[in-house]
Amino acid sequence: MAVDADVVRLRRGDLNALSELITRYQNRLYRYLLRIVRQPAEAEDLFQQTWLRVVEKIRSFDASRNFDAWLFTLARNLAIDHLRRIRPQSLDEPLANSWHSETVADRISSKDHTPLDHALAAERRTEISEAMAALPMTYREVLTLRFEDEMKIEEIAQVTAVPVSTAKSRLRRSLEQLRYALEARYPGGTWQ
Amino acid sequence: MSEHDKIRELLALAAADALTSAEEKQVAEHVRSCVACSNELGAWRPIASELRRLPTPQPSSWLLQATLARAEAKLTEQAEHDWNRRVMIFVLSFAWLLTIASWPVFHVVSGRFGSLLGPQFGQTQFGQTWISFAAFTALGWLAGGVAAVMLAIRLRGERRLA
Amino acid sequence: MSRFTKELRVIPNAAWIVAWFAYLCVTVPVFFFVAPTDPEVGKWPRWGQALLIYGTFLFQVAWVALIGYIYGDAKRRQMRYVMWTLLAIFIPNAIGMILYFILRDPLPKPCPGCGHVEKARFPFCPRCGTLLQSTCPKCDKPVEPTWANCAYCGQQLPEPATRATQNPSVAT
Repeated sequence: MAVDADVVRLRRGDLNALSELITRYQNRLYRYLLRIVRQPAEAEDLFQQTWLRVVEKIRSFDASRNFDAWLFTLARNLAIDHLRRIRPQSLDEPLANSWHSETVADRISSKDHTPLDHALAAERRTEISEAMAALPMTYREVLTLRFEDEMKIEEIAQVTAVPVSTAKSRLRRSLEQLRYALEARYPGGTWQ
Repeated sequence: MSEHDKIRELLALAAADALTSAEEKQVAEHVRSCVACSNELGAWRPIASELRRLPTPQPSSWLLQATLARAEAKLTEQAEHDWNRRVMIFVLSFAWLLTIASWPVFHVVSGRFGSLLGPQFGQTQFGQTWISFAAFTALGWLAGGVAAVMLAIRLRGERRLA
Repeated sequence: MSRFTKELRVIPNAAWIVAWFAYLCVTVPVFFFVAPTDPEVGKWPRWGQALLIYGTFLFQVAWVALIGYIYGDAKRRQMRYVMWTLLAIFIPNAIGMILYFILRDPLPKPCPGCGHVEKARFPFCPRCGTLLQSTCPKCDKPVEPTWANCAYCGQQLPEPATRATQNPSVAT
């Protein structure tokens, strides 16, 4: 795997390997941190701190292990520590009113398949990202790891430091809560 | 719990592609004959597909460069730190080796030197030898300690001026 | 080239010459004249005596080489190299050497404006005034590139990529 070669080079102090790794993981890592802390400025700061931590600990990292999972675990620990210090309440509870103040009536609930579908598709995306942002952190994180990072359940279990069965049930419950929230917010709409 | 209920629990995970192949087969079989579960699965699919197609948020354009600059600085700092540590370990071991090696040399030289002065000084006794080793080593450390203190005072004076 | 071989080049050639010369001056007479007459070692086989003598005096070579390294290293770091070399030689049991390695200054980098090399830790070049190291925008103390906030006054620092572009008036 190409990634492993860069990790090996990084362990020996190769600066180019560092640059390649940061570039390769740039979008994924930032997205993951943003899903957890929900603030772009904080996510960027944590992004930098994660890579500094990687440099600190790369010597004690066994290159045959999964670098993805290790990187995301480091990021996760930093993000959780950060939230504990700054906004401890956001770890357990969903944000109370994170949604737009649009009313249900503003939303088109027709099932047409016209060019309006484009607008609908964009709306669906907004709806779902808003719904996701309102979930508790552990649910947001498992959804982003599975659907956006496309990690296997075993990797998700490793990153979130829980057994595989717990990761699976978390995924199921997060999907159920997401769907429940969508159907409650947009009854008779595109989610039914 | 009946099989139907069990499968119903797995439907969300099925839309997420998070099942083992055995579980997937179970679900596929059941869904073929059960309309309710088939509809349910169909309800999960749009959610899963939208989740997969969420747009990737973009960080600021300078994030990459800034992170790189910081991380590279840290990497070189660590390499320096590691190297300095190795040098210190080497110099310390060397210092101890020299200390220990100086004792027999001291013993031999004082024995020979003593025999030059007269036969009664030639035989160094056990107690005398160890005391003189200890005194010699302690004197060396004392000289080092004094030098360290003087240097520290001087350096601190310079840093305060800077 | 590994770090070790790079550092070995700091030792001046004169030091190597002195080291090996002194080695021969001591080991050869001891091997040929002193060892055979010694009450204990004289009883050993000849190759055992050779191993003992030529082996242990290698420490002497290492010692002289280390002194040479301290001379060259202190010089390139703009320290008082004569003083440090003397300390390394005359404080017994290599304690002077240990002191040196603990207390030595960091390596200075040449000024990007005029190429002059001055002691590390100075934020400005004394000859042409170019900014050598990023400084805090509030308290003007030098800051490390890995810092997010100034360690002296707490001011949040701009990103490293944009930091070192503030150049004071260059002396003409």
